Amino acid sequence: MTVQPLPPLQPAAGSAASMRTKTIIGGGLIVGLYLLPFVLGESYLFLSIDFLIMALFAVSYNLLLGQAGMLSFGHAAYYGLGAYTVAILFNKLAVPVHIGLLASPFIAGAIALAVGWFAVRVTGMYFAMLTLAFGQLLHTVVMGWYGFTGGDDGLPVMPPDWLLPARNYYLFVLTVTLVSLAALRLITLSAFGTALNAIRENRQRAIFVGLGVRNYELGAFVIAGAFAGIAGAMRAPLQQMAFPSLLHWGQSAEPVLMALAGGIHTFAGPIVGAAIFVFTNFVITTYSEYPLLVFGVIVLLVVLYLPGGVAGAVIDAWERLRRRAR
Amino acid sequence: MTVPSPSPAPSIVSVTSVSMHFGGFRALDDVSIDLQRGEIHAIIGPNGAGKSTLLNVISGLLRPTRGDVHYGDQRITHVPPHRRARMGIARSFQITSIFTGFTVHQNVQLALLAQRGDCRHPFRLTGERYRDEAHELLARVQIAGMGARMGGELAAGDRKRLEFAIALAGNPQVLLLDEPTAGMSSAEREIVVGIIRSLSAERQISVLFTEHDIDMVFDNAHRITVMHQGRRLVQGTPAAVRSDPRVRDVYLGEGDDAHV
Repeated sequence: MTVQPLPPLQPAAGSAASMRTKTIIGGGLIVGLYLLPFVLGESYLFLSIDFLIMALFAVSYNLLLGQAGMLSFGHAAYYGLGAYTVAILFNKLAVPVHIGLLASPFIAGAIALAVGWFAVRVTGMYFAMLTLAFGQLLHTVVMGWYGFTGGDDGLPVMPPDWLLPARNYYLFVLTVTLVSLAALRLITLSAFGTALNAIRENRQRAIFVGLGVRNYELGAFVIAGAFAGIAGAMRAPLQQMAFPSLLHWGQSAEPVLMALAGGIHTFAGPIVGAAIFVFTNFVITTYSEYPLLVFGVIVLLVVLYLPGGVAGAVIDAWERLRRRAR
Repeated sequence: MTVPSPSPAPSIVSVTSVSMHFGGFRALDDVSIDLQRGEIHAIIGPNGAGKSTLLNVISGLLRPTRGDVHYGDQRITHVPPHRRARMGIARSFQITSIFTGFTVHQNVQLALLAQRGDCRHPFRLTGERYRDEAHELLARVQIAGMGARMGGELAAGDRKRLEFAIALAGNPQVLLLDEPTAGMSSAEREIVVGIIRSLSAERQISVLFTEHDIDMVFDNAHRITVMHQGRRLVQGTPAAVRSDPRVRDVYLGEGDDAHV
């Protein structure tokens, strides 16, 4: 499977007015998100936490798929490693979860460095298969190492008292997610991010303008893994448990599907995808045992009829409206 | 200041006894060639003579089976291609290679970012960095007015010129051009030939290029290397090459080219 050539993620030089609109919308969204726990009931707050974690997981993944054109099938490994970093630090060294979270990007990033060092030697389908194989390898290790990880029983995680109320944990996750997303946004707009776009666009030309493409791909892999680790680190305290299934390849399918549903060409795409994913899961589990089946069908329809994803389609429609208004 | 000297000019690239085998096929067979500073050097020969393979060996896309490549005093046989690009060896491809999903301006901007080491920084914003320099490079190949268009929308000749601007972004010492004027109108050809000549004359940049248009070669090259079936057949000034009987037999003797 090859990734279609895409427009660069950099925004077209927007007018001052459109910049102002964006700032107002973005600022309003953030304020709204912080006010949410004062209007929503507890079960919806848990749903919102789930969404925030999945949004970060999906955006971290899209640095690979959307920006660098790297199709990884093992992204859950770093998500799970983030969860286990928090869990193991808590159980073995009594490190509280909010401190353990600070270690998670480094552990997940370090393992991503080791895996990526091999994986970026190949491209395309071979890269996908290698990341899948390494992901399953890590899953097997976590599953089997009872003394250290608790094996298939999982490892309990207990947040400190002040993080136990849903409202507090929501605000904590919201802050960590927003800071992480801001960092990822900077990366996508940086010279490094532009280089990743270039590699996705034309690998050969990227080499001959002087980019050591493997190093850039490795860099993207490590950064994506580190941020997936942060997402995973927020997941374990939510479920008060780290499970091996967090590293499983079935879990790796989720960021791929979320990114595709929302659209891989835009920064907001995977966030929109995560919202659709979490919401359909919530609605569907009430009626059916197979939420992923429904979401899979949604993704299929989106890929067939809205190749830019939902976010891409919305942006296109907005642009068309604006042009007509002028 | 250069001292006039009867001895040959120092070579900037030298290829020594290079062979390139693909399985049993010898794409290059014991080829040596030296490129002098500031010279315009053409490689000609029938299809399959090994011209592109030679450019690929010098630019680092291919690692030769045998032999060595030197850049100045440095042996670069095993230096990876992106590092050679940073060292000042730029190239273009027979099938024009640009970033079709970037704007024309962004194509050149990325080349500048890459050449100057900005791309290593994950928090250094791209923004409008090097806008003026990118514009100058585009003006040089006379496509400055197309900066906002997507690379993929350009006509063949404009793409070639964009690729040329990308190659110039790193202030190269050596330009390796694979059929630089193929598919161009005669006006576009003149622009490209003019740039090649001025780079060589004013900035002492060495140009090694392959070309099918024999008139273009004999009008512009200081020296010509004729290749045939992976071997170097003749090397010399246009006059010497023109009068060499072997060249007539093997290459120029083919049908319509006999008038050379």
